[in-house]
Amino acid sequence: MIQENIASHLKQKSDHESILIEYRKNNVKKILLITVLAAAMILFSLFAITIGPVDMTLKDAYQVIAHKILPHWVDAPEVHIERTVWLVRVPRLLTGLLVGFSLAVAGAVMQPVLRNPMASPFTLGISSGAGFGAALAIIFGKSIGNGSYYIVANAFCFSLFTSLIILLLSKKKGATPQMMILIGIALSHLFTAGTTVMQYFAESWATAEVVFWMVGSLSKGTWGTLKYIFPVVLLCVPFLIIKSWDLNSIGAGDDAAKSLGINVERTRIVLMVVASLITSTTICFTGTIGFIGLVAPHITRLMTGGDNRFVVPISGLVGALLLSVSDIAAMNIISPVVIPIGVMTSFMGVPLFIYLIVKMRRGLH
Amino acid sequence: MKNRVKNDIAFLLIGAMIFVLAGCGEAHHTKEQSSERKEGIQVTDCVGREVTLEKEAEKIVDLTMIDGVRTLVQLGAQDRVVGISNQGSRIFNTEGMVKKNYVIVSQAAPELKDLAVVGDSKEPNVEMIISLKPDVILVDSMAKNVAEHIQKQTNTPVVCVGSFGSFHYDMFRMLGKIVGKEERAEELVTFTKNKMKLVTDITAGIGADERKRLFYWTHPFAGNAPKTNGNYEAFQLAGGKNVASEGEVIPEGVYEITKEQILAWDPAFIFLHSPFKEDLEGWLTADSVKEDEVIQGTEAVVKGNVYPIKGELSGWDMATEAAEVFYVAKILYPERFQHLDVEKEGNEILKKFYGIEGLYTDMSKQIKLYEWQ
Amino acid sequence: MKIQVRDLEFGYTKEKILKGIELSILPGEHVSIIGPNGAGKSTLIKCMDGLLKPQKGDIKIDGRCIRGMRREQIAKKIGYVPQSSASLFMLKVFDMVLLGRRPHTTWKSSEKDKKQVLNALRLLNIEHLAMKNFNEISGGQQQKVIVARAIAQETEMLLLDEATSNLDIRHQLEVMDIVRRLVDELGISAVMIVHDLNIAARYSDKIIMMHQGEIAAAGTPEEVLTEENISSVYGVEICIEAIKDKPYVVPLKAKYA
Repeated sequence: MIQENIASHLKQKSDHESILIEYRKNNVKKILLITVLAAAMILFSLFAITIGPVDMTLKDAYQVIAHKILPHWVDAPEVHIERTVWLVRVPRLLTGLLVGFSLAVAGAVMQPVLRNPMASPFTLGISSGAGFGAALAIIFGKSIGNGSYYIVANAFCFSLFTSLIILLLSKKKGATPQMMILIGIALSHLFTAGTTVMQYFAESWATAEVVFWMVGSLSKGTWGTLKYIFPVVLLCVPFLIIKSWDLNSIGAGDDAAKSLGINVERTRIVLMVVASLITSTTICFTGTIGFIGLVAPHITRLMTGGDNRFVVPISGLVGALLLSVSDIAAMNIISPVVIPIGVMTSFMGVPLFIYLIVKMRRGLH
Repeated sequence: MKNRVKNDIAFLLIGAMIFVLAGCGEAHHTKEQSSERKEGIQVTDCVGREVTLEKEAEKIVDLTMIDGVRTLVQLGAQDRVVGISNQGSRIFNTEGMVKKNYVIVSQAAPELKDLAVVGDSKEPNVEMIISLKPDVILVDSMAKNVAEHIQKQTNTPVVCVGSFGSFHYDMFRMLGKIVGKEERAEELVTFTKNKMKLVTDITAGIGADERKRLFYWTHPFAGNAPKTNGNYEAFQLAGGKNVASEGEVIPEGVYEITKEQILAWDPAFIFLHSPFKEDLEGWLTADSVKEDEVIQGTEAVVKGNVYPIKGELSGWDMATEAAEVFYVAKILYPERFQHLDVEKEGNEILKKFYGIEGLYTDMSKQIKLYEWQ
Repeated sequence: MKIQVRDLEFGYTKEKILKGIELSILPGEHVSIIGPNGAGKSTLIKCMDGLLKPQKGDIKIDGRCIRGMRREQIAKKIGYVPQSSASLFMLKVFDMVLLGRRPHTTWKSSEKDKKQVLNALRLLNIEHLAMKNFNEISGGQQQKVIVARAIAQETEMLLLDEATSNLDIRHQLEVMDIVRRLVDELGISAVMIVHDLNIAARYSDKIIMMHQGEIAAAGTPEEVLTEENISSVYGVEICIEAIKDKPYVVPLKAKYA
């Protein structure tokens, strides 16, 4: 009898352990994936700064970086090489990585928060708000900012304004995702209509500028713009990653999440505000690069399953890679012509996405 | 022009797609074949459609943004225009930016400001057009796919007008034929050719290696990526080499490039769309380009060779482009064109086309163009 | 833990779904709520967990009004098993149950949390499902996983909204056994909505019978499950037999007016 007890106890213990080992293995796999993606990102970055229309050797390109990191140890490279690498390639690459990371994280957060797999950073009309603001600046020369932030300031304010309207309205009436999405879609149509009306009064060049702005481009990625993007990303992204566990609960239903101790309405609003903030901050510099935010989280879920503690950060890495690879492709495929980055991300993202769907045969969740 | 620029972009996107998907066949052109010869005036329009008019057009409706009307003004046939497009009407009716940009045509034919407004090529106001009983309707070449449709709806011949590049002599001849001003059309063509010869005779002597390389920065808006256009012929005629036409694939219109590309091209001159530099914030000026951190090392910036130009910003106007051939030539080769008086030539060309004295001088003053020194 | 409901009124619109509910549940009590569809059973449970805000009356947990408590505080006291649950995402069963630890940990789950998850899984005898995807197991298994999540939450009270209705008889009894054991061994209290009157009679200390938003009868199974009560509340003809010390409801036919 006693022996039997001990035997069953031991069996239970080993069962326990085997499950824990399997669980850990599963998580280690995901951490490994993070490592692989991060390594891929670094390798790709090292590759990306070596290519471009200005002729230089690999050594030249790396010398610039080494010189910037260790100015006393490494000689300064030729000035035009330094300018090319340090003022053009590096900031553009960093912008791509940061924007891709941010939009993907925002998408990964918004999908569960709005309980809608089609949600993206732009679901709530953020992009149409930004587009409207940009059009206002371009066509009528009216902007909150000036100089090189002439369009940026307007785009930022209007996109944030859109999300604020939604949040205020839904706060009053209880923040259900359906309501947020519907208001978002309605506002987005309103802003699009506004932009169209403005184009009617615009000159050809201004219309063209608006279209170019909407298509999006990483060309505005300079150290100057990174100064704005980086702190916001640095504050918001870790916050979203920390909050990502709550997304699992919210994904199980509002009532379930509440019974698990989550103030669902507040969490939803806070997460939306933060995700909107990163979206606005990034797209006001780059124009609308929407697709990343929709597709990167899905690609990630297909690879890792739905645990948002992993989906959120891995989406970020996938988004960063996808956008920066697309940008390099966009700049080099038919150089000197730069293919619009939005087009390129679709070319890169959609085949990967479809391949994964077909291979996984599991649907999107 | 709105449609055209939009179409540029559409073309660019589609072009990119085709390239990436590696290899589609050439687009097939389907020409309208009319085997039977009819009475009346037969013309081939700018997209190759053959159109027959019963008689010389007395009443013309123009759905293009401004190309149709401008050419008719230059032919001295503005009195035939009975309907004008939304955008066209605004050019004649608005003060401020739009008007300044189109200052020439609105000065030359101010009476057009009260014409009936008939929509545009994409969305024509068909009932209004029918009520005007036009003999011919002008439609933007970029909207050629709707030409037949409009023709059927209105039961009126439709002619497509406009294309890339200004020196589109056949367009002048075609419209001349339609309004019975063939002589005037031919006169303008010969005049322009002779004027251009004054420059090309000199630039012909410049070897391929000596030709000044220049970068044409279109729509230099602070918030957007640098863009360029390989099709503004004035640069080639003035003996320059537009770096935008050096690549393997040259899109037919405006395309985005990177700033690093400007560094790589290292042009000796930069020409910058600059129609109203004092009016619009966010628009880069020659001075702000000279201060751009990234392109500091380029020859153009080092030597301070950054100049404003009107270009095709307000549409492809043969008259202003011809004038700009002189302007560009003098900037690129001051020694060779030492004795050239750009202002005099410019005024003469614009007078020939628009019939007004001192337009070039006027334009410089009003929109601050060409006053770079 | 003791929960007291006083003069509770609730309605999504003007029409009241709950009218003047009064009840109290003591520690170590196993209570079943029965009643026909639309009687307001689920609404009552949701009010008790603070998921719905009543228009009138109050609910006190150990003498403290639920209105003034933060969600996290309630979650430490009360576990809730919803009627149905689908996850929007492919979550592993283990991770699903781990969510039950949310009120106790901030964001990094400790070894203790994992141990709790394993214990809950073992209690429901579903350890073998731990690494399966929640969305890919059967509805009955999903229901057990959610019960496990509530158990991992380590609360003093469990509210189960028809937790057993998706299950076959074997699984139904398993879940009932487990809840009963938790009540007996740990002294927690359990309130569950049950459709099967005989199962309610067999397992519960107390039965609350609801009808049109009001409590029609409450008390021991013998007191509540009478021919008059059942026939007037459900509109059926039945007879009650006593089998193995508990009342047993034998359905005869539906009553027509």
